[in-house]
Amino acid sequence: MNDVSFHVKSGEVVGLVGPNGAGKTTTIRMMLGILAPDEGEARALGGPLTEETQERIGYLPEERGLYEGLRLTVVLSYLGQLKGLSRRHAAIRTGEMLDAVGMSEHAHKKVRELSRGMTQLVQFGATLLHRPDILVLDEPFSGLDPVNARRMKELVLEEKERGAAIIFSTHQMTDVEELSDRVLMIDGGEVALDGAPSELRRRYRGDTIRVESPDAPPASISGVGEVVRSAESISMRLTDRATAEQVLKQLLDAGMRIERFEVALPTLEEIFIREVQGRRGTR
Amino acid sequence: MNKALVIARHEFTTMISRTSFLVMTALVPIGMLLLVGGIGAYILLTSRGEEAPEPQRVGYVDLADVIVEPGTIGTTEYVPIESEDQAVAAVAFGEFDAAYVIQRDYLSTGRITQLVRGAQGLNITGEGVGSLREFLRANLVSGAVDDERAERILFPIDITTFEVAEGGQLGENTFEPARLIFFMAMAFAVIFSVLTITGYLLQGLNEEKENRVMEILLSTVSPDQLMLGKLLGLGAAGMVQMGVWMGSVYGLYLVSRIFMEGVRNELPALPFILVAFAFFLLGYAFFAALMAALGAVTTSQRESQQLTVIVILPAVAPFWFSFAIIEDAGGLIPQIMTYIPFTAPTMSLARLALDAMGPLEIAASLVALTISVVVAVKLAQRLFRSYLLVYGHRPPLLQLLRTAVTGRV
Repeated sequence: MNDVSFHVKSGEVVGLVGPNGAGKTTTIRMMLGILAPDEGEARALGGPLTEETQERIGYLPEERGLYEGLRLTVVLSYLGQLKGLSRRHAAIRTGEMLDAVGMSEHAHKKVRELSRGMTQLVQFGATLLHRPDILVLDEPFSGLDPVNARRMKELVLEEKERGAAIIFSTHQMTDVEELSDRVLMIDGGEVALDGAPSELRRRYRGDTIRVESPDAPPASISGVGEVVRSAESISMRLTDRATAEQVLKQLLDAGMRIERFEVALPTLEEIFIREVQGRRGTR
Repeated sequence: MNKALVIARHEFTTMISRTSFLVMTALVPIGMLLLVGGIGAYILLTSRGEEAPEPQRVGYVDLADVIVEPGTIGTTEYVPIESEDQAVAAVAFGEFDAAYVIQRDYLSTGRITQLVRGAQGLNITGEGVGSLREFLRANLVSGAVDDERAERILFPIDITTFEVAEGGQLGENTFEPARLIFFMAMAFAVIFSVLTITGYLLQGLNEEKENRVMEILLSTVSPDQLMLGKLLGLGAAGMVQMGVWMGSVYGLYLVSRIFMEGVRNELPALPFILVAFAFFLLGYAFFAALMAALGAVTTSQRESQQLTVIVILPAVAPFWFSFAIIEDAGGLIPQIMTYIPFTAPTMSLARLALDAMGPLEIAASLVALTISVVVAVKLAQRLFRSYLLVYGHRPPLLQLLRTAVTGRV
């Protein structure tokens, strides 16, 4: 990691994105105090990371698992106590969280009796057990079916409403668009992008046009770098010097029937790909 | 510290509710009960037979003219018969249980013919051949030597043992069979319990690494707290197991007092029991630290199980030399092994059982073991801090050694 610096406010959801090996998990581990940085520090709740502040963090690691041979209630109660809950309080919260993630009917089952998705829900419940002020979720929705992913997203938003600061890493840009107030992109151990999705889209707008037409575009269009066709539309990326008007004129001159023509806001995925490819091109 | 206690409680309750732990803890007392019960029942049944043997009438024909007078040995009455033919008839009609014909050349050959009904052996009489031997000896020496010599020929030994102190003073023999049983059982129990419990420690660490719970734990507790909690919790479970086993050894001792003559009526003195427990605790701490280090640096249960051989083999080394130890518990090899941390717990207890360790040697061994524990814990802590999140491949040996010594990866 190199000079990575960012902060997450209370009630804010930050999507941490980046290509494989970019340093997302390492960043998370340093934030949690699992790994010590050579320089700099992680601060939480207005101060340095201490045992007390660590108790106020809920962490869902990327690769998940729980004690296979233990019952859910035992596992959750134990993890709750490690986060500072009393035995009694941990037992109460265990019941509440299992209910919240829809697993209360499996409360007395052993972990090994659950499916992978169910284990993931239980582990997410364990992360929220002590009502953390900070939530750190590493790839929280991977491996979940759409129904359970939806349930988990609702819980994340409930935590946001409650005022928790949330940071989650993901490869799914749709999740980021859906949940994040801010996007933090890490690449090569550095912060590559940091901003609200709408702001990023505005920052990257103007170089993509979207065309709806029953006709195919001409094979060569001056000022257009990349053409991507989908069932509904055609996306064209403009090169530096071209304008939307120049491209539209070329299309009409070529006899193409235009039903819709717009300068498109790029998706976060498009921004992500462009940024990563751009950075790799410059290295 | 508080979190270490939470971990300790979790490890303890998880351990004592494991089926394998419960079975193992219960098997030893049950095995002892069966063993002692079996031996006791055998002794009881045998001694009952000895108390009330059936009276026997046995005839003899003395062709060698060696029997001075008939008589009764134990419950067997020896009755003279005139001839071999009469003896055969008497046995056939059931007048005698058996008859012996002492042949003319008996003195030079020892030949005796036994007559029994049906297919029976020499033990037809209640006391068997021992009774006949005694009857013949008594008659052979009768009149040949004086009464005292005759008595000594028949019963030549009555031993009393004294211990000779270093200063030459004589004292009563203090060898206690109960102590031998206690410490030998303790030596077995210590190494068995220590290796079992620390094996669970290793397995638990591997499991936490494999299922990535380790990452959750380390986001909440420090590696030192984690290690301390595990050592305390599993150590407490080990003490429960040892308590149950020692209780059963005590039971064995109590039962053996009932059945076995010569078992003294005292248990080993309290200081000796405390010494035994100190060796258990220190042995546990030493091996647990090693297992914790192994658990930290290995990446799978399979790999760690292969590497535990490095720890287990030296731990059981005293048992390889058990015959040499029993023969000479104060010898050079047992003495050296008393100071090697891998073998010290077992070897010291074995030597205590054989009364071959003085107070100074006990103290020196405990001190050496304590120092080893401190060093092992320190090294284990460094490896624990550095490699708990290492997945996939084990770091090279040189790197591990460097970390253990310097604390740096």
